[in-house]
Amino acid sequence: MKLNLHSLGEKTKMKLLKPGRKARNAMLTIVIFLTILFFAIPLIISFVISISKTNLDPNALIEPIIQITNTISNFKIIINIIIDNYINIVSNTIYIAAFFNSVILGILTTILCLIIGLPIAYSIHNINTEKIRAFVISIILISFLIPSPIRANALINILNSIGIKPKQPSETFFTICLGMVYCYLPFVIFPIYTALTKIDRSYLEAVSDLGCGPTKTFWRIVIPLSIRGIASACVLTFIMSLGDLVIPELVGNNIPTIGTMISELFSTSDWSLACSLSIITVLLTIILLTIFRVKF
Amino acid sequence: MAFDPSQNMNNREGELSEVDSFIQLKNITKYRNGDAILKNISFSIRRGEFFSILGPSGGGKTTLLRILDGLEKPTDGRIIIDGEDVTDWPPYKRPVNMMFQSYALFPHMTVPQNIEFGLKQEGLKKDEINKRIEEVMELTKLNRIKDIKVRKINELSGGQRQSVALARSLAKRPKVLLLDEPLSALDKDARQETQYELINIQEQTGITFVFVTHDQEEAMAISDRIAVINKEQQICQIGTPHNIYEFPNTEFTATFIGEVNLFDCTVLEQDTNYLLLQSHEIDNPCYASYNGVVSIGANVKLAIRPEKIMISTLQPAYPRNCTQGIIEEILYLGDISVYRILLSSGKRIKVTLTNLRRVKDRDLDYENKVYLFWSSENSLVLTS
Repeated sequence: MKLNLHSLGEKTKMKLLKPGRKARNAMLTIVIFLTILFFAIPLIISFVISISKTNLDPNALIEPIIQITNTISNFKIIINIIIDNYINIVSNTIYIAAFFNSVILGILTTILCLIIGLPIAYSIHNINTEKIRAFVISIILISFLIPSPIRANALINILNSIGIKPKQPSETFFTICLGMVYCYLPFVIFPIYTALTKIDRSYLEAVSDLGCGPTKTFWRIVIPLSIRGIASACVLTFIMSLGDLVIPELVGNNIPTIGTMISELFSTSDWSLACSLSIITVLLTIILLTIFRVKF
Repeated sequence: MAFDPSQNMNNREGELSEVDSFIQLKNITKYRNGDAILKNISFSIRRGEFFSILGPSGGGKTTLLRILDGLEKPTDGRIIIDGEDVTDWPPYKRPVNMMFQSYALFPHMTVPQNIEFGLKQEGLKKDEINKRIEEVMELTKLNRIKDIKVRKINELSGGQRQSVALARSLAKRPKVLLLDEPLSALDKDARQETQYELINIQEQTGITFVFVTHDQEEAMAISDRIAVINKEQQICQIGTPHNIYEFPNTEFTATFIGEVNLFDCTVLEQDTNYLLLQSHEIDNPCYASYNGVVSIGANVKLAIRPEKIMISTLQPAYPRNCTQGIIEEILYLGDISVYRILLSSGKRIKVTLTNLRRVKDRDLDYENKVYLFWSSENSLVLTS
């Protein structure tokens, strides 16, 4: 009998078409190597700096590492530094306020982005003409290419011209939010759009056949089937807006956020405290995302 | 050649009275991006009928079904279901449900959730919903599968998915159930089994089934009536499987459903029920039964099914409806044997014989000179 690829089962076919074990191991090694090089090592360096007492020249990057090899032997000093840095952050109202502001801003931005971005993504997906859809997507992409400081400045000018000059903290909050939504909207639109394109059209037809109008279809099928795309869009937006520096600095009117705080500490050469703040932010993000994952 | 649908509606079965017809398609035409998908299609379907639309791929069968469901709008024409013009109704308002070729089962729901989806949209009470789920699961024999109620769609086999899709569309108790090649994903045994089940379910529920397929055997096996749609997106013939096979009205129907030997002929004489035909491909003039009107000297096609031709090494006493040939090939298929025969005119034809006797014991062998003959009742005249 002839061996025919069509006659094989789906699973056997997948096995035949998948890369071999060696190739997979090689790919895995590259991924792990890059992850360690670009994500784990910087994080470890930040942590090391955060537990070393240095007020150093920001240009001398290697200094804290030397410093730490000296101090690592002295456990007591490290404990003192940890108490100094971390307790300082946790007990200082300005840092707590910064955290609070950033988290609230992040959540608000994410929600607003979702409310605006989801309908946009859905409408783009529903454009039947290929050319028009490509045009709309490229318009969004091009606006996305403009650097965020320029966009933030443009936003300030627009707000000024219509008479809004943020003085009150609540107004400032509003403008920061507006700026971040403006900047991060594409990060919501594209993942959701991609998730929507993956929904098989026959599902939508089946729903309609089974008695659902357009609104019900959207809530019962479109949302559940694209929930992963929506979730990843939200996580992406939240993380980016949590640590954002440019927008709060430009339109924020000195409202403390995590980004501005860290930037300020770096510019005053308190690397140790800046890194402590970063590490706490990372931890905070991990905790929030874990809660998010458990919930959804 | 131009095709006039009214010409082919003249047989008893194609034409239904207004009272009889449950679904009426009137002059359905569909253009997509300037290309004609369907051209002026009109036919009717009875209440409680198992109706098949049979045609080659690209014939617009699925489009016709989608138009019936409301997923696509016809460019022109009306659709009437149970006395109501539903042409402009969206799919979710029509008393019609469709079983999709891909099944389109919702992957984020369990089997019962899939089945009850349509019922929930109707706002039925919980008791009624549960009752209906039990009912359709019994009907489709889903309840015989262990743990079916907690299973997700990706944990089901192809056959089980097919049953769930059927159950989901039946649960709504539609007036019409549309089936878009629902058996194409199943293997041969499962397909045959499902064919029986579909017939059973259709008889039990009394729902009008409209079934689309490109598999002529499948259509023959399960349908009450078949509409044959050709490559030019027009309906060639509507009739019972028997009628379509025995009395095809066009060359397309004759060749698409079953196999057929075609001979080019000219009409010599016309009797009340017979034509005398002359063909350069057949040794002698032959008679063929024919009721229509045809002019003497007209060119027609004579169609004879392979199983309707008899083979003998002895010359029959009556020379009409007989021709000579040489056996070129014998294909032994177990239940039947197919003989390829080279006629003295140079034309090759096919003849099938049931293997009543073992092939060895038959006195027919390669290179044998044989006589082929057939009755005039079994020869068809195709005028178009």
